[in-house]
Amino acid sequence: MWTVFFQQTLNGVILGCIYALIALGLSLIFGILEMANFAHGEFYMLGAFMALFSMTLLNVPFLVALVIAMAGMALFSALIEHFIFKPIIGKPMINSMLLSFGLSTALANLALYFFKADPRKITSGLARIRFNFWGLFLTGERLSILVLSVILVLGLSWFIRYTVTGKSMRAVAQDRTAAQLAGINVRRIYAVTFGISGALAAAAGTMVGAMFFVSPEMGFTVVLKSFVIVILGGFGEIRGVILAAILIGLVESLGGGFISYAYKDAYPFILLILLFIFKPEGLTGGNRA
Amino acid sequence: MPHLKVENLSAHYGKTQVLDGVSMTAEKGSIVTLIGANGAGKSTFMMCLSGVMHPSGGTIEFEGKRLENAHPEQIVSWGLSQCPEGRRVWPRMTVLENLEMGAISMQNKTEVQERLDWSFNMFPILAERRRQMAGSLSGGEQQMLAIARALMPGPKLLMLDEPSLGLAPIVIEKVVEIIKTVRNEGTTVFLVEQNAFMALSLADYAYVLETGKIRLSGSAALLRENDEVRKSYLGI
Repeated sequence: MWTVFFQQTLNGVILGCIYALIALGLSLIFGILEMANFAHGEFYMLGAFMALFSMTLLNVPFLVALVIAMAGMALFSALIEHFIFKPIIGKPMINSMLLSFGLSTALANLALYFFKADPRKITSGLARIRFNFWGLFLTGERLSILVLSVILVLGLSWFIRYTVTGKSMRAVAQDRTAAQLAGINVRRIYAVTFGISGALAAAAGTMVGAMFFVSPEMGFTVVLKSFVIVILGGFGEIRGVILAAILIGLVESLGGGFISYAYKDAYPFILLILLFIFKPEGLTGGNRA
Repeated sequence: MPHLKVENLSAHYGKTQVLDGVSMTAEKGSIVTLIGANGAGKSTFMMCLSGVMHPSGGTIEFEGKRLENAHPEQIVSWGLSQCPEGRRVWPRMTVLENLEMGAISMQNKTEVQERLDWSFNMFPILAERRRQMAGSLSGGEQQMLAIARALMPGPKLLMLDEPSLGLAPIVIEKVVEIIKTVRNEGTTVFLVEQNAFMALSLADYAYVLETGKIRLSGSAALLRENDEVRKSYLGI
């Protein structure tokens, strides 16, 4: 009983770390461009395919494939920003919701057409390494996923806090006009934000593809859950988003283990409904604006 | 040749015309003011100069460069800097970060440090509060920070939009003092104000904007004596 509990908790934390990578990208785009990007799940899916093809066609090791997928999706996302989202920046939110929803459907179906529907697996080669401690079991693959996500999240926090580009991103999020007047190249910041967001999604997709499967429709539920996480954690709050992501990972994993696995995708949304009823100001407190 | 020359500038929000053929000039090292009531188009005019808003017609020339289609960051790097209405400091960034971001158009790190020292010398209160979040400062301190941020790149022309708005008289005096210092260091100052009394006592030359058109212009001393200005803007 307790072993199952701890095992599910561990799995939940790993899942939560992956969700954090996806939700942080979404939250950045929301905070800086004031856009809801429903195509974010497809960035995650395309990143997973990019890693998969790098490994099967180019024969590179898992970590190299991860880097290729991140770089590739950073570029792809920045191009999407430039050619698709740019005209609607600063327009009401409904524009980005409709546009990104259309983009999401288009990308998912293009992937279905070219890559076919059969789920495929990224074989990291680390799954055969097994650790056993206190009755808990962890593969080398899951351990490296845990470590990698923590590194990426810490790296992102550091980047936003200390680099000039990161500070510019915060300035744009807090007051876009003031940022323009100070001489920050806002258009460049938009592209960089999309790029970072796409790279993080690709990293998450690659790791999920190794743990589970890669398929054209994998982005669909993930993007909805990520919105739940961003809402729970508070828009533009890095720490809040990380905590909410781990919470959702735990809820899903423990709910799947102890209540019913079939409904595991429903638990985050039930949590969201309860939160709206009982704590509408969000997890990390009231409005600080 | 004037430092700044605006000719026949028009601007629209959708179909509503906000500026209608505004022309003005500013000589190097002078203080020029634009006064007018709420909604006259003063801030829109400023946003056109900074490239945040693109005018629908007319030309803006600054030291021989055309600004009307330039990007805001280019305009800042050419030496034209604006301190916007309502301060607009970044509330969840520290005082120091606000100032550093004000200097983003500068390439040379030692120059940035020099400007930072200059700022802290000019605004000792900001040096004291450099690690504090800008949102936690008082209104007057935020205005100082906003002005200091606009001065970070060492602009040739400083634009101030309503720097006295909502401030205590003693803080307004400090703002006036800063404007004079900056001008004495050779910077042209373009001041937009509702506080016509302050603006006209400070400026060399003045323009009166009414519903998007320049209604009157002349030396500030002359406008101070003008009956219309006295009645409408000075209340005497």
